[in-house]
Amino acid sequence: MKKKLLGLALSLTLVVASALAPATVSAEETKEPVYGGTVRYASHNVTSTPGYTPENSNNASLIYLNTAYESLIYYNSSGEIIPRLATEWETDAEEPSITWTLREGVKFADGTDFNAEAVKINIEEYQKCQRNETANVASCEVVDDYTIKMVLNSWNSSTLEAVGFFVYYMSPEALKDVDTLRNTSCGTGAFQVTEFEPGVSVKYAKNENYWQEGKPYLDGVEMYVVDEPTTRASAFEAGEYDIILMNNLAVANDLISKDKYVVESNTSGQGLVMTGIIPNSALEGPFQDARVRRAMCYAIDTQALSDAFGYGLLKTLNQWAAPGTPTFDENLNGITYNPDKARELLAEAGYPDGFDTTFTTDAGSKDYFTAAANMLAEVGIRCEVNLVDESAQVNLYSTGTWEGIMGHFASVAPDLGLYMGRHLDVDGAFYAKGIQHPEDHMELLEKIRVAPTEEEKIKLEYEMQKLIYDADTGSALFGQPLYVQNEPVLKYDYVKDDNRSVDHVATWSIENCWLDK
Amino acid sequence: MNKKLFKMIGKRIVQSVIVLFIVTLLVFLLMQLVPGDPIVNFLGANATEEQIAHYTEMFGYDQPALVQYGKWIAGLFHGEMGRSVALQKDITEVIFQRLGVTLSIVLPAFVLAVVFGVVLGILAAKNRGSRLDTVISFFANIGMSMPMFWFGMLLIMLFALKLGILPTSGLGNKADGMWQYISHLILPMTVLAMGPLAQFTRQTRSSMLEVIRQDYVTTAKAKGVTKKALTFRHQLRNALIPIITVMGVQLGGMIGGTVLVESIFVVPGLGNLMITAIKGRDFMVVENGVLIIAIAVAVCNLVVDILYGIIDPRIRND
Repeated sequence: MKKKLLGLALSLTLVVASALAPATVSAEETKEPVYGGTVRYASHNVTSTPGYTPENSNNASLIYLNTAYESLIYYNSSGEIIPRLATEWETDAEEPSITWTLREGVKFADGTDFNAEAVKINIEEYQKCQRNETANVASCEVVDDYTIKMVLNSWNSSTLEAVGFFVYYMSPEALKDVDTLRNTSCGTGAFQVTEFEPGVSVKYAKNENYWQEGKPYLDGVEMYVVDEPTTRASAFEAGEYDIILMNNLAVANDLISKDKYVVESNTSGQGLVMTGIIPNSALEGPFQDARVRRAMCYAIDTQALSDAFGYGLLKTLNQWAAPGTPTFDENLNGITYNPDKARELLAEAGYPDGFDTTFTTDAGSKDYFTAAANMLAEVGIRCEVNLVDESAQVNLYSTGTWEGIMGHFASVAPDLGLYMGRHLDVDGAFYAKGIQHPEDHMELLEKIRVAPTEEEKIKLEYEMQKLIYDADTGSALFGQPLYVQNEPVLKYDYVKDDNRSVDHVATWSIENCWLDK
Repeated sequence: MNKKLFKMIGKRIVQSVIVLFIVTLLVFLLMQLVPGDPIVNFLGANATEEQIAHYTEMFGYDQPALVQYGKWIAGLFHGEMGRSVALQKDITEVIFQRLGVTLSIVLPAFVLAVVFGVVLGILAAKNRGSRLDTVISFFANIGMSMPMFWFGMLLIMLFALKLGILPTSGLGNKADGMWQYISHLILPMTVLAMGPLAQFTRQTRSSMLEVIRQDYVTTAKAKGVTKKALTFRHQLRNALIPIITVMGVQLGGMIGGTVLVESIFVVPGLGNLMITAIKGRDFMVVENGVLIIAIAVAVCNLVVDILYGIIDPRIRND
C-alpha cells in the first residue's frame, strides 16, 4: 500500500513538474538582463595590439577590436549588412563614391565626439598603414558633422564592406600618441582595455561613455590566449573560463559530447574559412592540364574524409561558397567522388599510369590530408606528404612556389568576389602566383569588381563558380574544395546574449552580454 | 690557491664569450635560412606590397643580413635588443619580464629536484638492495621516462578537475594573495622538477655506491667517525663531482626546456615567448631568446667549473 501511495505521489509530482516545465522555460526567456560580473574568454587567437586598429589585419584579432571598437556597419545572423556607427549609406557607381550618414551622440571613451572629421582621420590613418581596405578611397569629404563622402578611385563592389566593416574607429585625440594607444584602447565600443600582456591576456572594463543606453551589462571582460587546446578545455571545465573558442575538433567533440555546455556556431557563413586542396598549375607539370586537375578532384571522397576526421563539425563543399551564404549555388554541377572518372581523365591527359608528386600540408591538418593523399594514390596520383609549419606554408602560398598539391585555405564570406580575387589576380596575395590566370576568368573577375549592384554581383559570382567548379567543364584552378569548418564556441549556460561567432566568426555583441549567475 | 682559481674562472669566461659569439652568429644565420617573413606573418597574407614594404623598412629587414647582424650586436653592447615585430614592443623589456616568470618556476623546481633527488639518492645507496632502494629506483625510472606533456595533463586532471584544489593554468597575481600566486606555480614546477629529480636520484645513488666501497670510507668508519659525518663529509662530498656535473647540465636544460611546461600550463615565460616568436618568425625575439638561454647555460657551466675547483683541489691545480 505504502509503495502504491509512493508511486502515486511520484507520478503526480512528475505530472505537475511536466505541466510547469513550459512555464519555467518561458520565465527563463523573459528574464531581464542583470548588471555586473566579468566574462572570461579564452582562445588561441592573439593580437599584437588591442588598441591601434590598423595593425590588426587578421580575422583572428577582430574579436579584440570588436570589444573596444566599432565599425560603420555590421552583419546580422542572416549575413545582411546592418547599421552600426553609420545609420545610412548611399553608393554611386557612376561617380564612384559612398556617402555615409553617421550616428549622432556617439562619443569615444575619452569623451571626444565621433563625427565625420573622426572618420576622415581614421581612414587616413589606415591609408598611412597601407591597409588594402582603404586603398580605393581617393579622398574623404566632410559634408557636415555627421555626413562624410568617400570619393573612390574607381567603382568597386567590395569597397562598401571593406571600408564599412574592416575599419575600426579610434579617437583622433588618442591617435596623437600611437605608442600609448597600442597598449590601451580608445574607441566607441562597450569596453576599453585596462591591461594588456602581449600573447597572454587583454583585460577590459566597462566604457562609461558608451552610446547605447543602459549598456553594457558586464563590468568587465577578460580575454586569455591559451594556445594548447587540451589545457584550454581543462581550464574551461574547471570553471576558469566562461567561454572558449575551440579550434581542435577532437577536443571540441569531447566537450560537446558531455552535454553540459552551450555550443554556439556561426549561422551566416560570415568569416568562415574553406579548406581544400590546390594544385600548382603555374609550374611545369601534369597540373597544367585542367583534366588532371579535375581528375584530382574526382579522386577525393570529401564526405568520407569529413566523416572520419570531422566529428560532425565539418560541412563538405563542392564550391568556394559555403551553404547559407548568398553566393552558394545549390544547382552547381560540382564534382563528386568518382575514382573511375579520375582514372579516365588521367589516361585522357596522357597519364594512364599516373604520376608522382608532392602534397604539402601543415602538421595541424596532417591526418586529414594524409588520408586525402591515399585517395589520390588510388587513382595513380602518388603523393609524398611534405609537412611544414604554418609560416613556411604562408611563404609557399604567397610566393606560389609549392610543388604539386597543397592545402588551400580561403575566406568564403562576406565578399566572395573580393576573396577569390586575392587568389586569382596575377599579383594576388594567396596562392595566385602558383596558378594559371585564364583570360575568361580575369574578365569575369573584373565584371564582379565593377558590378553596380549586389544582385548583379552575386549573379556574376555564381557564373565564376561555374567556370571553375563545374564537373564537366570547370577549370578546377583552385582544385577541390573539401569542407568549411565552424570552430565551435562553448560556454556555460549562465552566459547570455554574447552572440559570439553567430553573426560573424570573429565577432560578438559583448555590449548585450550578461551573466545569469 | 685563490690565484689559480681566479685564473681558471677568467679562462672559462673568455671561452664562454667566444661560445656566445658563435651562438649569435649561428642563430642569426639559421633564422635567415628559415622560410617565412616576420612582416608577412604580422600583417597577414592579404597585406599589400606597399604595406609589407612600409613595415619591412620600419623594422630594418630591408637591409643586408650583415648590416642587420652588426646592428643587433652593436645594440647588445648598449643593452638594446631591438623591437619585436609581432609584439610591437622593446625586446629587452619583454625578454627580461618573461625571464623573471621562467625563473620563478625553474629555480624552485631546481631546488626541489636537488633536495629530494640527493636525499632519495643517498637513502637508496645507503639501503642498497632493500625494499626502500627498490621503491626509490622504481619511481626514479618512471620519473625519467614519463613524458612531460602526459604527466602535466595527469596532474591537471587530478588536482584541477577532480580535486579542484589547484588551477589548471596561467600565472597568479600576487595582488590577489600569496596562495593565489603560489597555487599557479605548483603544477608547472612539479612537472618541470620530475625529470631532473629522477636524474639526480639515480646519479647520487650510483656516485654514493662507488664512494661507499672506497678504502678511506672503511678507514673513517674504523676511526669511529659518526654516521652523519661519514655520510656528508666523507661520502657525499667525494661523490659530488658527477652530481654537480649533472646539476649544471640540468639547470641549463631546465631554463631552455621550460617551453613544453609553459605551453601546457599557459605560463607567460621565456619558453612560451620563444614558441610564439618561432611560429610568427619574429626573428629578433628568437635570436635574443636563444642568446639569453645560451648565457644561462654558460653561467651554469661556469658555476659548475668553479664548484669543481672548490670541491676538488686537484682540478684547480690542473
